Formats: sequence, C-alpha cells, structure tokens
Amino acid sequence: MKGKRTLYEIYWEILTFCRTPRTFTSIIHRCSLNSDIGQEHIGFLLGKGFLSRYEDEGANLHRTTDKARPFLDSFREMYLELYNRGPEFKL
Amino acid sequence: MVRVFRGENMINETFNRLSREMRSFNSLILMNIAGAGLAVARGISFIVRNVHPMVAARMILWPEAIMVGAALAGCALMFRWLIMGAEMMDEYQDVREGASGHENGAEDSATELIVQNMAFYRDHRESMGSLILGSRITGAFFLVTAALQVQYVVSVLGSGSAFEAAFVLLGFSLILILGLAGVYIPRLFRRYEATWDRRLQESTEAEKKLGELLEGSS
Repeated sequence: MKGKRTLYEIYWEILTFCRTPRTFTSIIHRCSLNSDIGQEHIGFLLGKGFLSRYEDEGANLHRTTDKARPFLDSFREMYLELYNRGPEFKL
Repeated sequence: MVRVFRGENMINETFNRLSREMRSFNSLILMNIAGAGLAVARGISFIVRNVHPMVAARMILWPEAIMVGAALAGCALMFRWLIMGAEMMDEYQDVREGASGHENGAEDSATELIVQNMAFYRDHRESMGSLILGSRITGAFFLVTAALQVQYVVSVLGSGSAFEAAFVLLGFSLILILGLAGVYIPRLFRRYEATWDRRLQESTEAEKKLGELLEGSS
C-alpha cells in the first residue's frame, strides 16, 4: 500500500499482513516502508506483544498474536463505520 | 445510530458503495483529462491559425504574435493540467486494482480499500486544488470565447450556407461544452473533497480511541 498513511493505519496493515507469518523484508515491501521505519514500527508492535518473532528453517518470521485482536477489530469497525456514515460521492 | 458491521449484507453494501465511488471518481478524472486534452487541441489550432498569416507575410505581425504568445502560455498550463490528471489516474488505477480480494476476508478487504482511498486522498489533496483551478480558468476562457463568438454565429446562421452554418454551430457548441464542463468539473471535485474531508476528520477522532486502546494494552 502506498500513500500518506497514519501510524495506526500502518500498524493495522502490518498486523493484518502478519496473520500469516512473514519475514521482515516481505513486511516492509508490502507496506511500502523503508528499513529504518519498518524496524521502528515492527519493534513497537513486538514491544506491545501484538507481534511475535520466531525462527523457522533459518528464517526470522513475524506473526500477529491474539493480543492484537482488540486493536484490529476496533480499527476495522471504526473505519467501516466512518466510511458508511454520511453521504456517498456520486457524479 | 451505531451500526455493527458483522453481517454479510452490510459488507456487500460497503463494497458496492466503494465500487460506485471509485467508478465515479475515475470518471471524474477521465472527464478532466478529456477536457484538458480538448483545451490543448483547441489552443494548438488557435496557434496554428495565428502563425499562418505571419508565415505567409514572412514578417512578425504583432497582434498575432502577442496572441500566439498568450496561447502558448495557456497551452503550457493546460498541458500541465493534462499531465497532472493522467498521473492522478495512473495512481488511482493502483488503488482500484488493490480491490482484488484479500486473503484475510471481506471485512479486511473493505477496510484496506478504505485505507487506500484515504491515503490516496491525503496524497492528492493539493493536486486537486490545481486541477480545480486549471479547470476553472479553462472554463472561464472558453465561456468568454463562446460569448465573443455569439454575434458571428448569429450572422452566419442568418446569411451563410447550411454547411457553413452547421460547421460554425459545431465549433461554437464545442467551445460552449468545454466552458460549461470547466465550470462543472470543479463542483464535482469539491463534492469529492467534502466527502473525504469528513471521513478524514472522523478518522482523526477514531485515532484518538485507537491511541487509548494501544496505551491501555501495554
């Protein structure tokens, strides 16, 4: 995903992507982040316990934990709600 | 009223809404590009028509030269407008193509599309201002041109041949349509801006709640 995103949108994107175990490279590629920023965000999510890191066949993988579920659910419901509320754009 | 987005129908409605909005916005960019393209074409034909007498006379005719200079400057601006519209359309295609499924389910897929549209809007908010300005200037230019041609069109309709009258009417209609489109397109962009500005504002409020949630989870 490209474009100007807020911090929470980036967190949501990383966590959604990591429901399936992912390497650091695939996360920063998918979320269009540079290495330093990616490291910072992933470090924050690991610190919160929203992501877990483990090694599998020599690869360092990141996976979203159950602890992230309230954040993911709230984010999704809030965004769906704010999108559906109010008038639609039509020509 | 707080709606709970769990039902399949609700998600389908969100997808339909996203699909309609994205189609509408894509059409708006296309209209903008078509308007800019026609404006550039019209500008080039004006330049050629005014350069021709100078080439025939093999000297600089100042009234024509000044008009050609002004038209060149106008064309450069309209060309910039055209390129900006094309770039916006290219980037919007990426957003539309991103709508093709999500391995984590329909709700996440819809949320991702919303986030992508928001990111696109944040990125292009300023360019939309330029497109609106370009459209307004071009619209005003063509409406003034159409007003100046009214007398000529009436005289041709009164005394010219049917072929000449049809030809003049066609040209006049094109200028009038471009003028009206130039005035109407900014209104549509404003409507798009109003829709997404409201959503961005509400997302800021949602962020506060998400921030509290993150703080509470440590």
